[in-house]
Amino acid sequence: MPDVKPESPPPPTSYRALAAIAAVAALALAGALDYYQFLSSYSRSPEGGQVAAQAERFRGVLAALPPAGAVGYLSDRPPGGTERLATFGIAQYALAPRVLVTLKTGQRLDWVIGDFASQPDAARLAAEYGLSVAADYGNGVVLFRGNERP
Amino acid sequence: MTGALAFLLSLAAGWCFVTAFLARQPMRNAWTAHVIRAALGAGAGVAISSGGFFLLLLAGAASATAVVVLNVALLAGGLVSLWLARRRAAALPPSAVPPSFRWNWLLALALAAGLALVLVGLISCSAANPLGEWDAWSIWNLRAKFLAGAGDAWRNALSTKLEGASQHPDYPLLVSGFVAMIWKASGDTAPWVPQLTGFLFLGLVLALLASALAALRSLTSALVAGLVLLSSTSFLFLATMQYADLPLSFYFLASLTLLVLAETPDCLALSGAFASMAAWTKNEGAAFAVLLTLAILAVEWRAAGLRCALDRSRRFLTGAAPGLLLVLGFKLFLAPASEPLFNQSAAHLKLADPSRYVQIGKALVVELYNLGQPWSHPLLLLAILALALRFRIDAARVRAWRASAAAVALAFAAYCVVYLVTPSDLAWHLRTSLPRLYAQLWPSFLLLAFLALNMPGAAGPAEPRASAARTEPRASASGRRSRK
Repeated sequence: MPDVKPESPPPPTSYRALAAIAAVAALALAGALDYYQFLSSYSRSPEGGQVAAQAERFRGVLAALPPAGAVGYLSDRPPGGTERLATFGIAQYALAPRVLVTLKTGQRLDWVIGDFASQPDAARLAAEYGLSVAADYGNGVVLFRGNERP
Repeated sequence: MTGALAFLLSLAAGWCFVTAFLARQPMRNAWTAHVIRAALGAGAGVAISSGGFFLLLLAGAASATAVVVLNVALLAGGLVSLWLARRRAAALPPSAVPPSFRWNWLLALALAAGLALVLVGLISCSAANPLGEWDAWSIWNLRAKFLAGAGDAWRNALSTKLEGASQHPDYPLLVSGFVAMIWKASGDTAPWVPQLTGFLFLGLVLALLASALAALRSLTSALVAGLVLLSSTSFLFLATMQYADLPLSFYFLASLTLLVLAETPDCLALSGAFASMAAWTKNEGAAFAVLLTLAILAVEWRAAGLRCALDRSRRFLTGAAPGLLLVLGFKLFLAPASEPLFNQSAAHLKLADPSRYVQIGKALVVELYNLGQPWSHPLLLLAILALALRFRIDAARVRAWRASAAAVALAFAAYCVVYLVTPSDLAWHLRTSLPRLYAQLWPSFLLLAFLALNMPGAAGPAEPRASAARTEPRASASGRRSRK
């Protein structure tokens, strides 16, 4: 489809139309500059990379776990709160396609992930749930091995 | 590398199919035709390859090699359909280009500068937060990870037994499926895929909105609409969030653009196809497809009679059929019925509660205000343009414009009804979803607004509204109060 050049010169435009279009262009451009400044400061804010940093904590665990299947989840954060919901969700995302299951007492799973806000007493937890500590990654993430496998 | 190849192959295949469908569709000039086809083609490519990947999963044949073969096959099919379409396409006579506004170069400069600033800012945000916002890692990309997993792991994406906040196993799979397809091909789950997908759709929305307005109205309309879109900050931020709302807004826009452009049955069918792609993106898309079909039927019936209405609706639905069948199959046979909206008994009590109307009304106003910054708010910019330029809808496209406007208005009304009866906490539901619902419809709203605004150089046979004609005599006709 070839371009067709206009045969007539541009028609006159009213002052009002010109003023409106100029105002819109100026405001939009100034708004873009303002938004750029907002985005720049937002991208430097501490909460920006928190999710990625949380997910990164599980990198070491990935190699130790089988590529699929259910993995238990232990945490010291109170259940039901937003923080627990967020940390569980980030752990689930980091470990998918494995499926995270909040570990209940007596439940048997081959592998269990501990995701702790404070330094955990891993040995006590392992004894409480019938697990053994497979690896402590030192960043609040502990990998437990299920002891009571069939 | 394989992931990037699959990404590019899928976009190229979509371009071929769209170009074949639009072979007989007259366009004003070459560049608008190229940009419209490129934008629509990329969006179609994402949707088609996502659907194809889903079928591979169902067949138990998903692998990196299968993904590449799928996309090569889609590209081959696209090339064949392009070759066939070009053989039967008649040479289109060039349509007249209206005289242009003399300050377009300055508007283009402003748009380019604003776009560069906003893109740099958005990219820095996305780089700082590569996993996106909450729903990205708890819904869309989590499901993509399941879909890209080995063996039967993909079925976890449809499981109701997952713990956590909001997996929504009944949500359609366009975005998650596309991201998973690229991850499957590349053999990893690198964050660049959902990041790039978000920015791709932002670019597609901007390109399609501008090129459609350049084709249907004028270059000035295209440039000013681009500037107003740049002022819609909560919409722009969606590019970094990695949610499905931005792709959904693109498919809404694409469907309406093609409906307004349509001068051939193929173009109308393609409009239906894009409505079905919206349905494959989010549940709101299915509602939109139904509402747009009803709007076409009603507007055409009123304007041209039942026979014409049925004929146009049939053509629209013919294009929508493959995508809608995929969605229907997914909903009926795979997706669990987990939407709490349809599993409640107290909806009638909520409908009769006046406090819910007040709460929703307040939230609608607040979130509309939050759409942009106060002094460069997109509604303020639109108000300035409306006051100065008034309205003039191209008479040849007024029926399609009305049907599109009706569909957008009905979709918005449907969202409000959902809020009225939602089983979730209303304040939480409004706070977490209303900005995104506005964003879904925003590009379509801008398209319709700029199709109605009487911008300088606007094309089409003039049929000014009586009120506008009385108060704003056309400068070109009278020469009064005007300058070159």
